[in-house]
Amino acid sequence: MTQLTLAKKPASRSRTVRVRDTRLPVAQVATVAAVVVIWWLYVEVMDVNPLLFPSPTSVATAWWDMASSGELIKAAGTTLRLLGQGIAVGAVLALVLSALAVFHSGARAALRTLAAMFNPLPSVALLPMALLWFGVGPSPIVFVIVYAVIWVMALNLNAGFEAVPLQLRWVGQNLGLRSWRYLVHVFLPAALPSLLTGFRIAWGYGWRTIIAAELVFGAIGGQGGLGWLIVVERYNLRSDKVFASLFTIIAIGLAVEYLLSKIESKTVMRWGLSSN
Amino acid sequence: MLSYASAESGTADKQSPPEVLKIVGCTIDFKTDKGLFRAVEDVNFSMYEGEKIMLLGPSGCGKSTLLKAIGGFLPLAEGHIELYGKPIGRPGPDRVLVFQDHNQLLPWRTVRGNIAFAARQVLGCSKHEALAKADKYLDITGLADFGGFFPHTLSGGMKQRAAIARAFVVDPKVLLMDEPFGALDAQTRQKLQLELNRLWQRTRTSLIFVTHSIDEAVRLGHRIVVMARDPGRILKVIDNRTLQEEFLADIEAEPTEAAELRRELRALLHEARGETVGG
Repeated sequence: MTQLTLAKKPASRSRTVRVRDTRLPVAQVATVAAVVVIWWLYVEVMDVNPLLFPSPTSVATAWWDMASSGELIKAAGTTLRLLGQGIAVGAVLALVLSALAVFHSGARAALRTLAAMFNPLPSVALLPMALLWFGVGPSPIVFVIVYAVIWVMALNLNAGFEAVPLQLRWVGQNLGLRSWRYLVHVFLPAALPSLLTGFRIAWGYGWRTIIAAELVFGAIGGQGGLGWLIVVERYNLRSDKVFASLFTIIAIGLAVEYLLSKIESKTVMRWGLSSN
Repeated sequence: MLSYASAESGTADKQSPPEVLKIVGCTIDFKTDKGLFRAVEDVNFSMYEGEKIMLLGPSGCGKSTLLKAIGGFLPLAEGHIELYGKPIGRPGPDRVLVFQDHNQLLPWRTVRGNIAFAARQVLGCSKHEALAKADKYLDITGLADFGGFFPHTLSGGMKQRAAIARAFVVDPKVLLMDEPFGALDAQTRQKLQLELNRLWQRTRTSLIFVTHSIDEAVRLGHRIVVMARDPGRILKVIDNRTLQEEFLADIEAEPTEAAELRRELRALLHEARGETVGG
């Protein structure tokens, strides 16, 4: 859920890192419990048609069935694999672009202009054309994900690189570091806070993009992802399964958030880079 | 372990130590909004192997700028700088700079990791050797218990110790120190001066040390280059070798000549600031 707020205000967060309590706060558990109880009461007391709004218990059962049959895991695997490919390609391209922008002021201006121009376009809007360009199969999906993540990652990386203190750059030069070793041993670790911020936002963009793409364009290359599952089960009038898929999407989002915050506490927070 | 300044040098062995650094007609300009600003003008001096030269002067006299130019970080407008007879090039491990600012360690490496990384990178030694070297320097600088700490958890004095250890481990031809103790409290400062002298006695590294503290210059330098401002230039070069021998033996020594030298330097610094000495 934090993603939603994050995605709305990208670059401004550049160097801040949230300090998070690792204990499960009482308030969080209570809120989740309250939502489930209200949901359950609503369904039971109002006697809602389960097709429109299934009960928590039926959703839980459906989730368990789908999880144990492997259906969910397969769909999630498909979605995550495509997303992973898109993010990986986007990250490499973003790294190249932002590194160029550090060493060349013209490249920097170009990157800023391109990002300002292309980032406002929701990448899923490119999917129809991408299907024409790349044909049916995973390529158009990967393309729109690359497009979704590349600008925000490149901008954050570039901001991170430019914020590397002069003193650390000089230390690197004093130790005789050149070209890619200079990048790997000074610029990348020094820019890690911005890199993680960029990744967090990019992941959010990419996640929304792929689910939307699967909803609209269905199975890719004969394999359906989580978005596709939602469409299919609605067709089958299995609202409980639709809800189970939705909760899976939420759970994966939370898991990635958790993973990122773990990485942060193991790296930038441990190094004291977050207190800015 | 007497230095070249000892009495012996007058007899059989008349050879003076080789020239490490030769600074000829060195002028440095900065571009500002109002045009060129001359930070350093026509500086000339030579440095000999195993020498500790102090650059002393009021703020704005260009001493730090000159140091950075020697490091290869700033271009010269005129003149040239030679290291063992060859013009200096871009920054490199032959001229290592230690800064005043305490955040000069790589934050993502531990103290031990910082020193070992420098050793590996510059000397090309194996990981094992590098760690052994790091441990040795941690020991010398009294940081043995803090090797596994990340820099941000250390005090300013410890960070500077680690930075100095990292500079010494790569065995530079010239060590450039830009007021490394400037932001430390008086007590820590004196301790680090002592440790620096001890380190130097082991390695005899040629070093240039920028300071605006008269006392520091007197205690640490073989020679003291006094600089003046507007524009930055050399006012006087003072030979301090005899006193330095005493301070190397005991940093807390208080020879009477030291008091005289301090008085002289105080007067020079007045002049350096462009003030006239009254009475």
